[in-house]
Amino acid sequence: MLSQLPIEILDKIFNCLEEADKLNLARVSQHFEYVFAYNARKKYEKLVCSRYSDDDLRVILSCCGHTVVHLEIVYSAEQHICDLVLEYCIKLEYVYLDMENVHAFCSMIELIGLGRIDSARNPENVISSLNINSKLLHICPKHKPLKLILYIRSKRSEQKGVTAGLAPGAEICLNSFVEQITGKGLISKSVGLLIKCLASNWNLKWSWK
Amino acid sequence: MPSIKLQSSDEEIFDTDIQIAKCSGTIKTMLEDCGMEDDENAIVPLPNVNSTILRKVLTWAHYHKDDPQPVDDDESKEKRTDDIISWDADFLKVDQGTLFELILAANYLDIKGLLELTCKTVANMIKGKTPEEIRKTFNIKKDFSPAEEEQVRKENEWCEEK
Repeated sequence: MLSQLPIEILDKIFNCLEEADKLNLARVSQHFEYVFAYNARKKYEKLVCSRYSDDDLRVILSCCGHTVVHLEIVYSAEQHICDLVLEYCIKLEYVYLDMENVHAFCSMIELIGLGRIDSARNPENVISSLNINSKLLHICPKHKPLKLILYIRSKRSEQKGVTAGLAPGAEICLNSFVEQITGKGLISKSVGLLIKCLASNWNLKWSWK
Repeated sequence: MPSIKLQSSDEEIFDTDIQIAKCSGTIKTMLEDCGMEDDENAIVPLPNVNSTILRKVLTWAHYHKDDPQPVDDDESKEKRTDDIISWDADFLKVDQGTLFELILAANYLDIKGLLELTCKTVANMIKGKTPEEIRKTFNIKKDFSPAEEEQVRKENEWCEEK
């Protein structure tokens, strides 16, 4: 029987499959979930959420979440995906975030446990609830320091970085940076407020990609 | 050409050309390390391979005796599975039990070419199938606990509602 083959042979069979087929095989049984995790090794160390469907992310996070160090949220992530990240990504160190995408911001806020945005994902609503929810950070056992890597995904990102006087990888003084780029209309005022609010409520490390 | 005697698990003896036998890394090491190469009466015991499978393995090895040694590929890269020659494809038109026994024999005997071929064949049986179809093809039982099933169902609720 297929499932009775030794793991080194199943690993070789996995190596002959495309990722979509590997994910389907992982859904077959618990045994194949283990083989999927073994075969993936550090493949998902840097996980870009937008590349996968929510169903695929469920499999990846539950099997390989413990290997994820970098997480990139381009678009919004569903609540249950945020929950899975919180549950399984025990080594998560970096969250990459598109500064132009308010939905991604809201997802990140859910993800790091600062608040839950179920309704309209309105940044102002998020800000008003931050002060209360951020107190939970000190008692949440799952919470640990994260580095947020901010970037602008669009083609204009280089131009924006230059306009803001930043070289890639530069450490930034957050408040003045946000004021600068908000003032120049590079990001919306809402996102600017969100960033400053997050920074004042939580000891985040910020840098520029 | 010098030959060697291979003994299957059911004690059948196969008088085999030594060069063909040596496509197996396991047999090659045994012959070299135990100094059996020059002993015409020496018998190489293969307790993990029965006569039916050993006969198939030797048939494959005979056909591929002039093939170059397969190189160790980068395991992290996905392997092609559409490059199986028609003789090999016909050779592997066997029931699943035989196919898996061939995989185990190729692994035990350390025959890289045969192991790669059999793994590719299984991969081709998986490709493009849904989890349920894979279960059906290989007669695998779902072993997720009811709690896990419920969790998956809840997680997927949002897309079912759409």
